[in-house]
Amino acid sequence: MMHSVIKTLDKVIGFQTAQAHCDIPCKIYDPSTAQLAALSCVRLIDLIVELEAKEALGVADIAQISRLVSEKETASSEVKEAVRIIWGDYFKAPQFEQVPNAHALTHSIMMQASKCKQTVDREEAEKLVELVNEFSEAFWLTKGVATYRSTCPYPPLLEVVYPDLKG
Amino acid sequence: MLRLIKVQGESMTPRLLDGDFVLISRWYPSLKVGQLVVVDHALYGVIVKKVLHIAPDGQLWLGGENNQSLLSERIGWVSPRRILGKVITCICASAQHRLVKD
Repeated sequence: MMHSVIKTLDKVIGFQTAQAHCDIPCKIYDPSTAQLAALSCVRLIDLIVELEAKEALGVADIAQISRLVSEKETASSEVKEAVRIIWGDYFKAPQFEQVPNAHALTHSIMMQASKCKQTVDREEAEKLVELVNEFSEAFWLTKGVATYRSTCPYPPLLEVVYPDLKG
Repeated sequence: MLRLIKVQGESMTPRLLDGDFVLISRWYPSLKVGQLVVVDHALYGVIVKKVLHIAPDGQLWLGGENNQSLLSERIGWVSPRRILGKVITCICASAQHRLVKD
């Protein structure tokens, strides 16, 4: 209450600003890292399931599965890490005002990415892609950048949110 | 004299966040280590920092609240003449406003 009154006053009067300097220029944030990692989860599940179709699995196939599973773990963790950084470092009071469901959305991404680690069910990974898409839309909203959805031009050919930087 | 100052940056997190306001007073009985001050720094302009040490001649050694802050060594000793005020209260963006503890 008090803060919003002063904030409004600040817009009119413009109080002097005191810098609480950071030494690290930490302003490069982009949800595309999380989006690519989420798409990787879907793609890796596809590749794992492809091997399931084989009648007999040789040592090479088992080795391949173990690589794919390990990569899926990494990609899921990458989604969590990338989203956490944007949520924890970039989002501040003004962004939370613009995106009231940011906490719930971030938390649901954490949960869904964990689910992707536990399963080879494509649907779960597709849900993760959609949640990260929503997160991306929220991020670009706070930047005042319009977005559009388009099918990514590579497997798994899913709908992805892109910023319309020319708009 | 009281003044309202807007905080910009993250070096005082968690005590002060970007977008918070602080009420500063030019008059205060004495400064103590741990208190927050707003100073007009020769190199960095108006900055809000925590008092880490006070030299016998009154010069101040300032620092941030976390490891992202400008290093105290780069701020250097600050003359008390450069103090714009001591932080009395913080009006935080996170709903409640609280007293800044010494």
